[in-house]
Amino acid sequence: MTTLFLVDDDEYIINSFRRIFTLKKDKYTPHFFTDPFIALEKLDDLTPDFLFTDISMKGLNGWELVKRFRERSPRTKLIVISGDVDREAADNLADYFLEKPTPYTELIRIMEQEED
Amino acid sequence: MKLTNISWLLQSLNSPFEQLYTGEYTDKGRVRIWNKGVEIPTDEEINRLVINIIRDNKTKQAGSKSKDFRLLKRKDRFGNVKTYLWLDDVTAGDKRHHRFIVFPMERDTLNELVENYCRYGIITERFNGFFCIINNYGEIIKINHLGLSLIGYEERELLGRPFQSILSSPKDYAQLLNMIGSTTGTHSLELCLIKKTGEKLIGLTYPIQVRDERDDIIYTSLIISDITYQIDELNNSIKNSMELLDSNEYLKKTQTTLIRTEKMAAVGELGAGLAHEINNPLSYLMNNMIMYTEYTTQIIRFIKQLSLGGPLDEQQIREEYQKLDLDFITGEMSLMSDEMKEGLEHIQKIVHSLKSFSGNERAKGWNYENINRAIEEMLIISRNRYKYDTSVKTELADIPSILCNLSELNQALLAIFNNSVQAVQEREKSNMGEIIIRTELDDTEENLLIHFENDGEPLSDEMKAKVFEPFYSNWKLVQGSGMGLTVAQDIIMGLHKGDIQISTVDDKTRFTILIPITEDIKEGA
Repeated sequence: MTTLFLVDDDEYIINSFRRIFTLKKDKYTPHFFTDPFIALEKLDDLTPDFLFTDISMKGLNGWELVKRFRERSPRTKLIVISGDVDREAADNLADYFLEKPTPYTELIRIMEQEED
Repeated sequence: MKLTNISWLLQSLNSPFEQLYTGEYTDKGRVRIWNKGVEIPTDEEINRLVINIIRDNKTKQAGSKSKDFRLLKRKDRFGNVKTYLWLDDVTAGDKRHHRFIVFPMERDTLNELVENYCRYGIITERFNGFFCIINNYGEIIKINHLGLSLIGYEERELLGRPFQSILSSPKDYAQLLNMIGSTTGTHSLELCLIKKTGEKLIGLTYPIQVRDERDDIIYTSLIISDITYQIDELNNSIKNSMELLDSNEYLKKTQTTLIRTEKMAAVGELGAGLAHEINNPLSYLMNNMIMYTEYTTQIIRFIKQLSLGGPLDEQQIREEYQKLDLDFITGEMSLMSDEMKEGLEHIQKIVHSLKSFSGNERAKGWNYENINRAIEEMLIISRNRYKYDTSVKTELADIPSILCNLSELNQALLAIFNNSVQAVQEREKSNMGEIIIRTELDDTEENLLIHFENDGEPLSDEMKAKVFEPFYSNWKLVQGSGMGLTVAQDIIMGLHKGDIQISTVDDKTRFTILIPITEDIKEGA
């Protein structure tokens, strides 16, 4: 089973991915967060294989979250999903960059690619 | 006491010529007094006499005792002692024509004259400028050393010579005469003098007329300031100004380009934020559409089983319904419908606001516009810019539509709003900042006031003074072209004949925009 964290402060986006991943529950164990701080807390319990995060968020932005995951969970692959940041900046900090609007198939593609 | 300045004594004496005693030296060295008043010198004769005395005196050795000038004391027929000034006319040449003039005067008068003479002498020679005296015939009767050195002549070359001969044009001389004859106070006149070398000297000339008791002009003093350097500088400056005018024209063109660039930069910045605002709903719309299709497929499968799989009893139908989890599916579909509807409306609202904010053709001209609505639309399209760290409140009064160029005004409002957002983002505090936007009419009800108040990083007085200057940025994080507020000021004050002020109220920075609600502002458009 592949464990993934999905962080976005837009509840409707989280809802939409939650629905998608109910169809994929045989292969993926997703954890959804609208608050990036709670995602960080969850790191105490488990180490995800993948972190998918938005950048522009209240409280803690995606760059900071990626940085902290890099420090605390080096094994986790970090993927930035954003509609308003520079791809170059994302490439420097994260392992992958996905541009919004992102179909769920893109998330699956990256995870399958990494697992191969 | 030097006789070179006897002209001053002569003229300051102001003695009626009838009181002059004139006479001559006899062959035997005696003095013969001509009858008083028999040979009264004319003005011209006195002037020439003085000039000759000055000229001849110059040829005498410095420090030699002059005998041209003596004081005499005589008793008059009533026994009163009288003082006389004895002046020899040494130019008469041979002894037969060696004449003299005697001025009767009181002792006090003499003291006064001596005092005046001393002062005059000092002024003449120590005056830090060109000093010259001309008589009523326009001839030079005195010129100081600085004057001589400035135009490169010897004194003897100029004394008695027409002043006009050292002027570059008769027109200058005519103007000077005109001014000397004028009784309406002291004026200055720019004269062009020709040096001995042929070079020009521009002199700012103050003519001072000295008049006798009959108000006739006795002579004219000219105080001349050499302003050749200043005139050259002025000419250079004019030349530079002309060049500057050319470059100003260039700058103006550049500024127009910058204003356009600023607009493009603002739109570009908006665009990035708008992309995020639109991409978020698009993201879940896309995912939800996939799920909608998936759920619809399952429902269709269920319906097909109902219709094609042969007759099913109620128990079988319930089992199939639960197997497909249709309760969950229909609940999710209902939720998804609401979310998708909201997402679509959000996108529609953004597109509408963006259109009326910048793309609407109607907004490009002068029309009556609702500024409250413009502010609300500005907040929709720039939401992504502030939503993470700033709470924006609006207190919009019931105001009439105003005649304005909305496309331009929107740009100004956005620039001021962006500055307020940045003030909040640059402050040290980590909690949410606050911006309050208020609209109201002023007390006269002739002006609309729009206030943007923020509790962000305060502006110092220096910043307030500079904040509208081109390319000035008051923030650590430089955003935009640095022309935002410059352009905003131009749009509000130049285009809309309004005003923009910055004040600090309860530690909050407040931008107040004033727009007159009149027809007149359109004239400037």
